[in-house]
Parts: sequence; C-alpha cells; structure tokens
Amino acid sequence: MSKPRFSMQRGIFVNVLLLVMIFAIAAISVISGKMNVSPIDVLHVLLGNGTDQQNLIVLDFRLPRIVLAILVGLGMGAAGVVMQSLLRNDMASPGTLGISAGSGLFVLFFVVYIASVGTSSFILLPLLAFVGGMLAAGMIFLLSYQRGRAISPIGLIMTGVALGSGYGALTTFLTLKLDDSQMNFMLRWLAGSLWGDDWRYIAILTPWIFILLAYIFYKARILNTLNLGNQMAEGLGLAVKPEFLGLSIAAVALSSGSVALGGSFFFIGLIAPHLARRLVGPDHKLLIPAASLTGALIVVLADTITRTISLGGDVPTGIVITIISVPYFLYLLAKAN
Amino acid sequence: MTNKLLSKPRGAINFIVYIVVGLMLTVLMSALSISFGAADMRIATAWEAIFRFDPTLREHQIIQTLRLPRTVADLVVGCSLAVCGAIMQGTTRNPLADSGLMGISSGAAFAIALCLAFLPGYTYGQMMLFACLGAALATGMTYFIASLGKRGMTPQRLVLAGLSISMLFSALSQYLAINYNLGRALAFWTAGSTAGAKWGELFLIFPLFVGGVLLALALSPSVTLLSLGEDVAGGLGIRSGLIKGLSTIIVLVLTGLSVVVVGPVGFVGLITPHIVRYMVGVDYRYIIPAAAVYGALLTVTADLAGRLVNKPFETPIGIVFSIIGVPYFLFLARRQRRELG
Repeated sequence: MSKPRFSMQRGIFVNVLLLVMIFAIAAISVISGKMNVSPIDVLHVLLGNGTDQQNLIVLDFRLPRIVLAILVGLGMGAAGVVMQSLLRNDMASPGTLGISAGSGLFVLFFVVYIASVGTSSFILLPLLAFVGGMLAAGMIFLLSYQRGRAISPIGLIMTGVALGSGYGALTTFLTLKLDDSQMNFMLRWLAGSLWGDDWRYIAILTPWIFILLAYIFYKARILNTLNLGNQMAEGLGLAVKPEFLGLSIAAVALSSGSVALGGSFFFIGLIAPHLARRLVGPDHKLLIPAASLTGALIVVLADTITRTISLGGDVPTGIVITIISVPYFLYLLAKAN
Repeated sequence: MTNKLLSKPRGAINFIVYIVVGLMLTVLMSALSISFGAADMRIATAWEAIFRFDPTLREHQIIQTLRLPRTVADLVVGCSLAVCGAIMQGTTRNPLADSGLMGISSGAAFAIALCLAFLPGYTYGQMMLFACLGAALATGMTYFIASLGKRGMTPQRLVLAGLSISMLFSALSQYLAINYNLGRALAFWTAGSTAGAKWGELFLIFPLFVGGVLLALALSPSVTLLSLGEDVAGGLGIRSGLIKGLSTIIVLVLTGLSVVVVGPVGFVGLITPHIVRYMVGVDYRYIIPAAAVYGALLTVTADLAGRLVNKPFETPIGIVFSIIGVPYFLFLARRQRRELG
C-alpha cells in the first residue's frame, strides 16, 4: 500500500498555507479600493502616524470590514462542518437547514420593531439571532422526529427547506412594512452585505466566534467518533446525546453570530467544509480549522473582489458568493448518491 | 383498459359531484371576494355593478375597476398553477413537484427584474415573453441537474436542485434590485399580490390561459399513463417524449402568465393536486380538471382571507399560501419518507 492520501504533516501544511493566504488577501484588500492607499501609508497608519484621511480609510472603513469578513467566514465554515458531521450528510449547512433563515427572521424583527439602534443593540442583535437560530433548529428537530426510528438526514434537510421557505414568506411579509431606508438595509442584509463593520460589533463577535471555535476544536476527537455513526459511537463508550446537543448548540451559535452581523451567506457553510475535506481529509482535528479558514478565505476574497472591481454600484458580497458557489453545489448534488 | 377505467360509474359520479360542488363554492367565494374588502358592499350592489353598470356610482366604479379584475386574476392564477402542479406531479411522478419549489417562479421573477431594469418602455406582451423565457431557463436547469447522477431523479434531489436554482436566480434579482433601485417594486412582486390586476392585462393573457388549460385537459389521458411509469406508458403506445415536451410547454406558459399577474406564488401547485387526489383518485383525467376548479377556489379564498385577516392592511396571497403550504409540505415529505422506509 502506498502512502496514505492525507497525512498530519500535509494537513498542517495546508492549514498554515490557508492562513498565509488569508493574510495575503487581507493585505491586498487593505491597500485596494476606491481611494488609493499605498502599503507604506498603511504601515504608517498601523504605527500610529498616518494622516487623518488615511487613518479614517484604513482604521474605520477597510480594517473592520476585512476583520468582519474573516470572522463571518470562520463562523460559517465551522458551523457547516459540525452540522455535516453530526448529521453525516453532505448537504447539511446553516443555509439548507433553514437555521440562518430563522436567525434572519429575528434580525429583521429587530430592525422593524426595536430598531432604535442604541448601545444595547450591539449585544441584543447577535443574541436575538441566536434565539432565532435555536428556535429554527428545535423546530426542525421536533418536526422530523419520529418515534422509534433514527432521524433520517434527508428528512431533516427536507424539513429545513420547507421551514426555510416559511421563514422566507414571513420575512417578505415584514419587509412590506419597512420604509425605504429600512428596505434598502434589509435587501442588502439578505444578500449578505457584511454590514456590521463597526469595531463595537466586532468586539462582541470576536470572542463569540473564537470561544466557540475553541470548544469545537476541543471536541474534534468526539466528532471523529460521532462520524462513525451514533450506534458505533455509543459502542465506543461515548455519551452521544449530551455531546450531540452541545455541538449542535455551538454550531447554531456560530452561524447565528455570523448571520447577525454579516448577513445571510447561504452557501459558505456548505461549500467550505467540502473544499476543506478535499484538502485535508476527514480527520476533524485538521478539518475544523481547514473548513473555518477556507470559509474565511472565500468571504475575504469575494469581499475584496466586490470592493475593487466595479460591478456597477455597491454589490453585497453574498451575491457574488452565491453566484460563484451555486455551480459547485450543483456539481456536488449531481455527484451525491 | 382506458375504456374500463372510464366506464367505472362510481368514479365518474364522484368526479361530477366534486366538480359541481367545487364550481358552486368558487362562484360563492368569488361573489364574496367582490363584495368584501376595504369597503364592504352588499352582494346585490356587486350584482348590479356587473350586470347594470352605472358609471356615476362610486361603488360600481370600485367593483368594475378593482374588485372584479382582481377576482378574475385570482381565478386565472389559481387555476393555472394548480394545473401546472398536477401536470408536473403526473409526468415526473414526483409528489413534491411545484413550480415554486422548482425554481421556476424565481427564474420568471428574475426575467421580470431584467425587464424592469433594462427595458423601461416594456409592453405587457414583452414582459410575458420574458417571464416565460426565464421560467423555461430555470426549469431546464433544475431538471437537467436533478437528472444527473447515478440514481437519476429522486424527489429530494429535485427539491434541492430547485432550491439552489432559486437561490441563484434570487441572488441575481437582488443584484438588479439593489443596483437599479427596484427593491420595493420587486418585494411586492415576490410577495404575490393580485391587487394590481387590470382588465387590459387580463385580456392579453386570457387566450394563453384558455389554450394552456385546454391543452392540459387534452393531454390528461396520456399524463395518467405516464404517471404509471415511462416503461408502462411506452408499452401502451404513448410517445412519452412528445407528451413530456408538450406538458413542459404548458407548464412554462401557465407559470409565466401567473408570475406576470401575481408574482411567484408557491404551494398552490403543490397542495391542490394532493387535495384533489383524495377526492377523485389517481386518474389524471379527473385530477387535472378538478385541480383547475379547486386551485381557483383556493386562490380566491386565500386572497379574500388575506384581505380580511389584517384589515385594512392586505396580506399578499403568496404569504397566505406559505402559511398553509409549509405544514402541508412537511406532512407530505414525512409521509413519503415513511413509504420509502
């Protein structure tokens, strides 16, 4: 037998490479845009002696947006990989399960009814998104639960699709009540516009994402076992139910944090884990960081593209991602059994 | 064999009873739909407005220019979508087929967004054509993708392919909406409302509607045979390619015209054929006409309910249908899983 296809060294190398690529693209992203800022200017700004205008561009516009893009990508990628492993289904993701639509509904609810954006909203918004996501996840679970038989993954997804279209209808219903500026915000948010690029939002999202990522990474071994099947995992002495519950809550929390501040990125949670699996193989110790980093890489890249190449107006990043990822998803669908 | 099915008296009598009841209910609901709304009117007034129109009376004006076209639009759309649903479910043998779920409506909506953005001086006929082309594109893509792969087209695969095609086309529509400031126009469109229906538009689509439904009725015996499976149908001398082609054209035309009139309304095409199947059985010669009648009935009722629930605001029928349709879809998906085991 030849050398195994995926080795630890190779996986670590791929992860480091992804990290380097993210930094490289972030660096390119900082210096490119509608206003010209040279790399030396950026260095000046970071060292604290740039001009006011340069400070404004780099610190208040570009950096927060890039950081947000990375965080959103990390969150969605990790949430996707956990959902796919827990359900042992390639088509699972916050998008297809309708969980991000549930979070989105609550965000919209916030915009329509509580919209006086005061200080409290910085905490309230991600929390509401989390509640929405948890409710959606709970409903999917309840509706696809059938007494005396294992939950079928395809059933979960069909339920998710149906509920997702229900949330979509409610979302449209609420949209009709909005005035023009709210409407504009809503459209952009739905399309994935990375709107929460404000340091105050990022200050909340960063610990949220990183603590959850650490938790999931810590459970990587358990995900490996769960991936063998629930019965097998139980036979190997794993307390399946509490682990399953903890991990799914973590996944929902990760995706709702990203959804609240970034907007709905339907396909990232689906595509990133697939790409990562091709790169590093099925071991979760490598797969979780790889999927998160791939997610971050895609979002930062798409965001840089939308900001630098004029597509006629300010296009939300999510639209670009959707248009790019649909063909890949369709390819997966055609290949899947 | 077909003769034997036809001569089965109980089925035929059942069918006639259900059709008559359905028609009567439809007439009743249409009358209610004409008389209730933001301003209530007596049915007698509505009657007079239709048959002894007096242009000096404001109430008659309301009925003639707002309520009546709206009700007719409801009937046309409900009928079209239900017939589409029945045909798709029959020819693909897929209980979850529906023009909304297959991404067809979002394809048509995208074409309309294109139209609004780039053809400011569009005529109604052009828009219609565009909607049909958009619908055709989306259908083609969904079917093609769903039929790739080793095991061919399964209901789940079709739903997922439809979902992703919908995502793609709505992303494209959103792009147009944001760039050309069509947000509001498109949001009302996607919510699905017949409130803006006008006589001129209805007259334009009417021939297409009648043609589509008649062709669907003419095809119904072949659809029945196709629903038994392509091998069986082939053995019985049905040219399944031809029938599928014709039924696809019907679906495109009828979906396209409903999208132009109301916007993408999901779930009518999914639910109606299932309800009708409970009543008249599995023969598409009965299902298609019954679906036409009950689709119209459901849509008029849903529109009326949407107008009355949250007075004086209107709840678009698209949303009313989603509220009814989602639980029903869940039920169907669940039952299908049980059958598959």
